[in-house]
Formats: sequence, C-alpha cells, structure tokens
Amino acid sequence: MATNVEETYLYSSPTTFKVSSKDGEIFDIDDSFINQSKTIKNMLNVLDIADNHMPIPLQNIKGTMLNAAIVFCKYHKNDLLSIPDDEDEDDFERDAYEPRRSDDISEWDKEFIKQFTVEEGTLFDIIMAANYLDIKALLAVGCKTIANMVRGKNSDQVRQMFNISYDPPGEGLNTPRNSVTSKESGDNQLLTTQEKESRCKTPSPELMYD
Amino acid sequence: MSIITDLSKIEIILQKLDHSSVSHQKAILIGSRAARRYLPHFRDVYDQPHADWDLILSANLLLQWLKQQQINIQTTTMIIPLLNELDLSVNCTLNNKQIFDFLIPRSSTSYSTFLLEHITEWSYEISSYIGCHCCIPIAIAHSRLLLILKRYMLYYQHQWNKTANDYRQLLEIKQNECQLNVDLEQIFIKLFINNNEILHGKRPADIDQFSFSVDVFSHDIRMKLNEQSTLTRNDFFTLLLKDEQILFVYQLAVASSSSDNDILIGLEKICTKYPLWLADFTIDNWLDIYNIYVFYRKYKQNILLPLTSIQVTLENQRLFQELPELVMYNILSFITDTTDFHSLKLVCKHWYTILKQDSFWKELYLFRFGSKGQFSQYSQISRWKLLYFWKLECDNLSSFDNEDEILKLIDTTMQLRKIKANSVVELWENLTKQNQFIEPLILSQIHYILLNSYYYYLNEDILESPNKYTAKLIVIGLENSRSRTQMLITLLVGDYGSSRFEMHREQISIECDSDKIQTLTFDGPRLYDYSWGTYGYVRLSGDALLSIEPNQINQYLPSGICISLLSTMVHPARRERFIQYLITTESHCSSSLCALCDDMCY
Repeated sequence: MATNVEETYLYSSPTTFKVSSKDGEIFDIDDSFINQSKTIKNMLNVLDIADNHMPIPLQNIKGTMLNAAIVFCKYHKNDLLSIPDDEDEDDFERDAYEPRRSDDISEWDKEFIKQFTVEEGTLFDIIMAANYLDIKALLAVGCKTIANMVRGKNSDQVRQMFNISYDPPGEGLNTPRNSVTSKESGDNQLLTTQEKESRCKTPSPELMYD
Repeated sequence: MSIITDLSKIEIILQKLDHSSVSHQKAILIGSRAARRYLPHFRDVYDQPHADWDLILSANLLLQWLKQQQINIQTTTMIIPLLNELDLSVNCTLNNKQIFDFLIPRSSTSYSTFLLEHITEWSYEISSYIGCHCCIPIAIAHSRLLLILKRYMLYYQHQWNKTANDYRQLLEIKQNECQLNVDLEQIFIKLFINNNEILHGKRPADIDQFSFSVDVFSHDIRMKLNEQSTLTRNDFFTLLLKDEQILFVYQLAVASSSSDNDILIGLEKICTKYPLWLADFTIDNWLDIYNIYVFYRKYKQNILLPLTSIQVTLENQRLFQELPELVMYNILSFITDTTDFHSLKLVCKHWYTILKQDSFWKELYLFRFGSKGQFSQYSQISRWKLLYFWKLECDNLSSFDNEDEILKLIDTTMQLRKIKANSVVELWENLTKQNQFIEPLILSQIHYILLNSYYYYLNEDILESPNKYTAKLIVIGLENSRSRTQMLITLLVGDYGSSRFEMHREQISIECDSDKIQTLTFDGPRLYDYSWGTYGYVRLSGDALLSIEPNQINQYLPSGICISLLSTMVHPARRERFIQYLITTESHCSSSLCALCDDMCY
C-alpha cells in the first residue's frame, strides 16, 4: 500500500484533470476517478502531464458513459481502500476459493445500473467503458447485473433479453423461404459434427423436462 | 425404368384406381412428416413445401380424397408398375403447394397391404394433428417402422442421399422404439426387400470378403493392407484404425464414382454392391466420410484427419460480439448454478458451438480459479467443462485437496454420465422380469439426473467386515430441474447369518438430504419381499420396493425406477457386481425358501 500512496503524490499537485470523450464532451475528473480507474492512473504516471488544461482524449468512450463512470466513482470514492488490488496474489488465491456472489449489489449500485438496463445495448456500453477505464467496482456491478439477468431463465427468455436470433443470419429459420431446397441439396456445404449434433440430438433434456 | 408407365390425366387415374381391388379403412402416414413426430429436436416447419405427405392407403380412400380435393389439385401423376405385385404410386400437388405422395397396394402380397392389414401394430392413432388437411382416417407410422423402412431403403439406389439423412435422425430416436412382434417384423422386411429387389435390382449377398483394386488407395492405406487386393470383415476392423477405415471407404467411394467425382454415387455403389457389413459401416459413418470429401474439395489436399470428424474451433469465443472475452469470462464467473449453462447452450447455434468447446471451459476455468489452480499438470486434464462444473457444485462439499483424488471423482462422474437412461429402465425390467412402460417425461428426467450428478466423495473399506463402499453425490433434478439433493450411498458387502445358514449379502443404504433427510435401506432379498429368518428365507407380505407407487426418496419417480437409478449410483468399484447380485437374488431366494416358513404363510 505504501507505494500506492507515493504514486498518488506524483500527480496530486493538480487535483483535477480534463478528459474528452469520443463525441467531444469534456469532463473534469478528480482523485476519486483517478484512483479507481487504473487506466487513467497509469496514463498519468506515464505521461507526466503537468498542463491540466489539455483534455486527455478517451476515444473509446461515449460522453454519457464517461459521465456515468465519473458519477459512479464519486459515489464510491470512500470505499476505495476496501477494493483489493487484483494483482495481489494472495487475494487472487482467496478469491478463487470463495463462491462468487452476484446478489450483493448495493441499493445505490442497483439504481445506478438501472438506467442502462432500460435501453438496449447501453449496458454493454457501460461495461465496455468500465473495462477500458479499468474500474473494477463498476465492471463487477455490470457483470453481476448481466449474470443476474440470465439466472434462472430458459433459453427462450435469454434469447429475447439479448435480442439473439436462433440461427446465424441466412441459415436455418432465417433462411429466405425459396432457397430452402436449394440449400439442402448444395453439396459444398461443410457439415460439421457440431451441426450434426445440434440437428439430431437434443443437446440437453431441458426441452422435455422443463 | 421400363416397367413403369406414367399417367397424368385425372380421369384416367380415377378409372385405373377403380380396378384396384384391395380395400382398407385407414391410411398410414410415413416419411418425414411421421418422423417429425418422433424427433424431439426436429423443428417445426409446418408450411414449408418440402415437407410432403407420404401416405399408404387403399384405392377406395384415395378415390374419396381425390373427390374431396378435386378443385384444389394442381398437378397429379400416377405411376403404374407393369408388374402386378408392385404398388401404385400417385403424386399430387395442391394449389397451396402441398405435396402428397400416395402408395396404393395392388396385390395381397405387397408390403403395403401387409402394413395396412396390421395397422394397429405398425402405427399410432392420431386425431387432431392433421384433421384439417384431409378427411381420411390417418394413423402415424411407428418409429420402428420408419427405421426399418429407411435402413433397407439404403441398400437400394433410390433416393440414397435423402434417405441417409433421414436415417441418421431416426437412429437418434431408436431408443424409444415401440415393442413389435419379431415375426411381424421379419415378414415385413421380407416383403419390403422383395418389393425393392423387383424395383431396384438384387441386393448383394451377405459375404465376408470382397476384392478391389489396391491402386486407388493412398500410400499409407496400402501399407496397412499389405498391398493385398482383398479384404475380410475381420481385417477391416482389426487392421485399420477408425480414421483409416473412414479414409478407406472414402477412397473406395471416390474410385467407384465415375468421372464427375460425385462421392455420393460412390457411396451408393458401396451400399449396393459391396458386402452388407461395409454398407452398414458406411451408413453409420457417412457424415464423416462426406466431410473428408467436402474438405478435399475445398482445400484440394488429401489429409488423414486426426479426428474422425472435423471439429470446427471458433477462434472468436465471444458470446456477445460487443464484449471482449475477458469481460465475458468475468460475467460468466458470476453464474454459479450449472443448470443456468444448459439454457445458455440452447440460446443459438453460435452459443452452442462455443459452449461445447473444451478450450472455452479451460479459459473460463483459468479465469475463475486462477492460473495457480490446483493442477500441476494441465495436460492431464481432458474435461475442462466437467471440471468447471464440478468445482461449482462440489468444491465446498468435497474435502479432497489432492488433484489425483479430484480427477478420480471427475472420472467417476463421467462414468455415470455415460450410463444411458435406458439401461436404468432395463435394470428395472430385469428386476421385475416384465416390460415396464415409461413415460417419456420420466425417461427424460432420468437422463437429466444422470447428466447432472456429481460425486464428491468416494471411499472403500475392504478391510472392514463387511466391506464398506461409500459414495457421496450431489444430485440435481430429483424434484425439479434445479433442485439439489445430497446423497450418501453406502454399500455393505459381506456374510450374514451364522453357522450353516451363512449367506452372502449386500445391503445398500441411501441417505438423501434435500429439505428433509430421507433414508432407505434394503438388501437383495428385501427387494423381492423376502427376509432372512432363523431357518432361511421368509416371504414378507409388505409393500414391494419395486411396485409402481412412488417411494419415500422421491415422490415423482415410480419406486422401481428410483431403486434402479440409485443402484447404478453406488461406488463404481462395486457397481457391476452389485447390480448382478440384485438381479440374481430372487431366484436364489425362492430356491432356498424355508419350507417350514412357507407353510406358515399360507
């Protein structure tokens, strides 16, 4: 932990920086964000930016997501110390033996993540942003939310939830009607064992048992 | 073919049909539409034009149908074989593109007459399924019948490709086949073969040996064959490995097909001209053989595949295209219920392919449990998925830390997964010595339980007397598809009684812990309502353990099937002998039934 404190001092002279998102929005970030986003922390260490008027470009993240991440970090600035560093090997070992829980999302986090679950696809965006910025807590909340969405659902519900089609485009049920017969007689098609099995076998008894 | 005339005028067809004499009251639906009924994985394609109606029926019924549908008929053709013992065939297309194929028996010796005469044995009654399409009383052919038909159809050049495809699917449902009289079957096969031989020529004799030109084979196959140009069945299966057998058939087929290089012609020749055992092998492995061909066409190189089938490995293992792998593993590592993965697997083809790959589970395992996991040798792990599932289900239950022990538990779990639901039913039938009717739902549940049970403790104390075999499992699916039951199965093997009445005895006791603890203890004689009295076996008049009623362990499964299921879950070191013991006990009991006690009972 001692080294972390030193690192913090390195860039602590200007306590705020500017970052710009993919769509050009500029945000002020402070310690709470820098300490939780390992990407930014590393970036600042490497770049050694003295001039805090030049926004740091974050080309992978949309403004709305960046804003959300900043809000998230502001709220969580105090539990920073309890989040272990994942490169700490002892911790990794400990983590491996404990069952992973996804029902421990705090009320605030639930409310926070709710804004993303409404619109299709934005949950992935916030996860991607968290992944890029390397904000462990936010990433965990996003991943847990998806895991919770899947839990106890049957394949049909999962399909609907993520808007997935049963077959790849142009195959199976998605085949254009008239080409059904011509496709079946086409002998250039590589039949794979997987296809064979998915066609013939019931992959799991779920169909009948549920 | 010269023995056939074609007709397409409906008036003439009606006229010809009048002359046909055999009359029956029902029609049998055969072919793909009937097959659809029995293929659980067959997806519904109700309105697709290639799902045609294949019906066997009498001329009377067809006349009736033609009159009803006359305005809807677009085209119709009739095929009249010149030989009188062959069936008539009428093909109709309706205005709405539906295709109907009818087979009308003309003589009493045709196989379709035979089928119509034994309609109850060969078919299921069906009412609502097709009611709206025609007013003919239709029954649907048994899966067994479809199987026989397809199998023997394969020996003739008629529609080989389509038939082979259908046959593959039908084989999958072979296990649920109905009980049919063997004599009936023999007669049917004979009639069917006769009929086909007239149409498509004679089948090859069932010979052991055949010869070929050795030049057509690649160098390594020739080496294996010692440059000889004859091969017997025995040599084929012993000299060649499975890969080479497939390659052999492939090269033989390529050589047999003429200039246009179509392997299907070659495969057809193998099935029609070569010995039956080779035909059977070809039919069973035709997809693998065909894959080599497709592969060759694509890459223009002849390779000996390391596996008997091409396994496509997806390099991109992303379930969601938007999210990178690491994030996806992160998400999945929060899914702790293994049954959730079942529904993920069925989401779409892409997910199914990914979730079937062991490399995927390896990555997930390493992500979740760390690269510093317990296994010193990753190369010895061959079932990452099972390992991952086992970890999720059993890690907190198991006290074993040793990696060899864990791998042994996983192997044992794998053995259990290989046991078929049907073998459990067979055991029940063996124990009760009578056929048992099993609802498909129950069969499916047994299958599910066998696939979702995990051993987490195994122990054998063979030094103790009696020998004690202990197995602990977590069983998923006993009550509902997500319920977990911890089970302790103890098997005691030893001698019982004293002096001259000493008997060998094996006693199983099962302790179940779901919401409340249930126990069940029985030994061989108890299973058959016998008990060991002072002077020998005594017959009890208690509740039979094998009766149909549900037992205390599980209220949804019939008692007998539950007993059979649990008996297959005992410690694997003793499993076979224990089952053997159970099966043979009854005769042993009844033969040494104490005469005195017997008298007292009556």
